[in-house]
Amino acid sequence: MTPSPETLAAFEDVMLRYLPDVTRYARSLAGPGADADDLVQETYLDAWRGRGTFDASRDARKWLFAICRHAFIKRYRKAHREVAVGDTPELESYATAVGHAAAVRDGSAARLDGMDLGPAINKAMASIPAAFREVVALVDVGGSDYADAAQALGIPVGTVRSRLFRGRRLLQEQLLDYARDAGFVAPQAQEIR
Amino acid sequence: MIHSRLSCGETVRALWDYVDHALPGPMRDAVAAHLATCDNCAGHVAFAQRMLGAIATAPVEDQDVARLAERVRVALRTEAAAG
Repeated sequence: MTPSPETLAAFEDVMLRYLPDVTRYARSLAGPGADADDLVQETYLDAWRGRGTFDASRDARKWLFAICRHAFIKRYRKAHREVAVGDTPELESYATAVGHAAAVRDGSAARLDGMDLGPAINKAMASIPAAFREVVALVDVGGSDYADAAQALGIPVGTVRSRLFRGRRLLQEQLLDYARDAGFVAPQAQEIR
Repeated sequence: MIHSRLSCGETVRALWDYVDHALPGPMRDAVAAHLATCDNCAGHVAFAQRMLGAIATAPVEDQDVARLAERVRVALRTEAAAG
């Protein structure tokens, strides 16, 4: 049976409010470009087909994110996501702090205080390897915890932490490079004792 | 056993787990106690939290949203018409 125009209009009225959020999530998962746009469209089509399962008391944004994540993993995620990260998430945390300490010393961290990070974040997200980006997307954009992300990707929690922390460190490096480029500040090393 | 007083190195090794609320209680308390007295480490955590906020709210251009909204509407109408 063909649904009424009112049914479609009501669906669009509620669900398209979250189009910017779904777009951000799709881009962070799939990277910028045609795949992300296709993923947004497929998310909405899958949501429409599954509208009978949506409980209006639930958070529509989270529901759309779950559909987007499912569509990404089923149809877009490349099978080869084997990357050599090592099981060293604590060292990635440490390296993140070392990088920030150097940025404090050379002034680039202070320069970022006055900047809108949004454009730089988008550029940085597009530049990091997909294996790291997809974990950052699941956790930091989609709100998954480590265990959820591990289950979604079919990898151990330890691998999620390693990839997530490496991805964040790479993003931080990009942001600090952005600040340095803006201020022509030379990076310096600093130890943390 | 978790020492009540962590070094800066021990603290920043736990930085991301702390920010993600993924540390067990005693370790979380020990990190929090260190951050309360160490401006350097507190600065690392504050920057990390700011970056995560920026990732979660990264801008999507209005023109991209408008273009995608039109594309999604067309796809939904086609799907709906097909029953």
